Amino acid sequence: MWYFNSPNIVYGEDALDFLENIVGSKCFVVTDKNIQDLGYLKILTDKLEKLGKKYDVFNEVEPDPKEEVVLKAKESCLSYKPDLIIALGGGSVIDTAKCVWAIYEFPEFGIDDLHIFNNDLYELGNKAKLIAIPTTSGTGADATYAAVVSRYNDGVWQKLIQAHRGLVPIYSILDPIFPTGMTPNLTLDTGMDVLAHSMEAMIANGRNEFSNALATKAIELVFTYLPIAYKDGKNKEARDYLHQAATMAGLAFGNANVHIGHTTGHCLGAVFQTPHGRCVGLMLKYVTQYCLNNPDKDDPSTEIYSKLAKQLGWAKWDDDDIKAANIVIERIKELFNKVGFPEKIQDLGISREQLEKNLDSLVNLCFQDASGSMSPRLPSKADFENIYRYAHEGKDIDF
Amino acid sequence: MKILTKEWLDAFGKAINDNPTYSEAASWWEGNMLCVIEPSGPLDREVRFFLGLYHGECTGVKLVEEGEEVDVEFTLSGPYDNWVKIAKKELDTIQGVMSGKLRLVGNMAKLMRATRAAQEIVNSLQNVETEFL
Repeated sequence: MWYFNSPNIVYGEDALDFLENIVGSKCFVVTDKNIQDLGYLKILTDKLEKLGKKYDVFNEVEPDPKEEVVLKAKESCLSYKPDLIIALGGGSVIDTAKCVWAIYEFPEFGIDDLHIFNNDLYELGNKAKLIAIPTTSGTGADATYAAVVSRYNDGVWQKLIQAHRGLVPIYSILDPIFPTGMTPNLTLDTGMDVLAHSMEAMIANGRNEFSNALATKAIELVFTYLPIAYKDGKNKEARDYLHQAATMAGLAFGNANVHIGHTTGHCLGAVFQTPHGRCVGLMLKYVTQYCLNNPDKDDPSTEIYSKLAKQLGWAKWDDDDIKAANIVIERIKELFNKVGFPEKIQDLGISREQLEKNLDSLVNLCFQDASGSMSPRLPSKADFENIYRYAHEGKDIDF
Repeated sequence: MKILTKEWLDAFGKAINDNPTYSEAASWWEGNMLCVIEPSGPLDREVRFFLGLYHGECTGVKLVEEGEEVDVEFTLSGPYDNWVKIAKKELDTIQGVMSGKLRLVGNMAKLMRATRAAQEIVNSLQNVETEFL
């Protein structure tokens, strides 16, 4: 027995109009000031007013949402008593809204209670439905059951990854009007996050037929439309498909997990304060090579990536699996070159000395990152160190 | 070695300490564990065993007698048949808990940072010659 969790998904031009069909009259909107300044909040509130729905806005979410902000939003939500909670924004906003939704339903819960073994969370949705409206095309947070919240503990900011299948939003509304305003660099970083989610989900330990189908399509869409959206952010078709790809990838990794690309990327980002999508995108080809080099012949990664290359028309159906799987690596390199994405850690402005000085911390963090255990090949301490070293120099992984 | 005997448990503790990757992955870990194997299939009585785990080392193992209290931070319980699936790597420990095949009591936030360490404990078991019931 296993599961596949998904929100109800409404997508395409004018998807926002679907709000009319969702029963509920009192909306608690969770967002951030940037979304407000960009005019996106007004698009939503104009729609709500037109539909005769009342609303209250909490706009204090910041990147890497802090526990106290989540609890403040919870208090506002409890006093407003909505029957709909709407998250309008990127991953931080959606993660905040997931936590608020859960604690609104169960006011006695704290953040620590939002964990995978808390079966009460399957009952979410009695007081309010959660609607996620992503404004970026990357995190897939609208389709996953995890929420990342930062807590200050013993002098350091700790990222708590809270997760439960009940935290999947009831609706995900993918209206391409929102990502059209993304800058080229944000388009690139978030697009590479989509690619990393999909590629990792295909071979992660939770992989399944549902997740692989979605990951394959998301990869195809990223390769087709990311270069177009990067060059021409107003291209509606490219924006629409990339927005869909982000949610497909969210469904894929939300149900299959990510693995050491995200482990090494998370830790790199945490130590050197580098954007998430840039880090996980950069690490992708290195960890993919590492998995393809697995001496354990029972690891199906080579076969899975070979099939991917053949399905996408990158390899011939009679190519052997090793050759075909390695074409995937070549295609990733070509995509990076095409859009000017950083290929090695030194491209992020991190010197070898800085890397070596922080290597122990990086590897210790890697061992404490839950995604690391989902890899088909489990790195030792020395392997983690060498993956970082090779990625710093831009060398192909040969171990 | 017959599973759930003192000899088997001692070998399990030694295998954890002989696994260098467990030592690396759990270098930060502090928290003893009680494993409760409930009757199912060929097991007709409850068996409990203690794993002392501190900073990447298995500091001690012992079978826990009925009624005996032990100081642990985590308790992992489930039917024998599901433990066998874990031991044979047919079922991932975390997936086992998520799907209700095993039950866990303890600090979940801490445990979620230790999924790799938990995996290495199971990997260590692969090096113990185990005769199942």
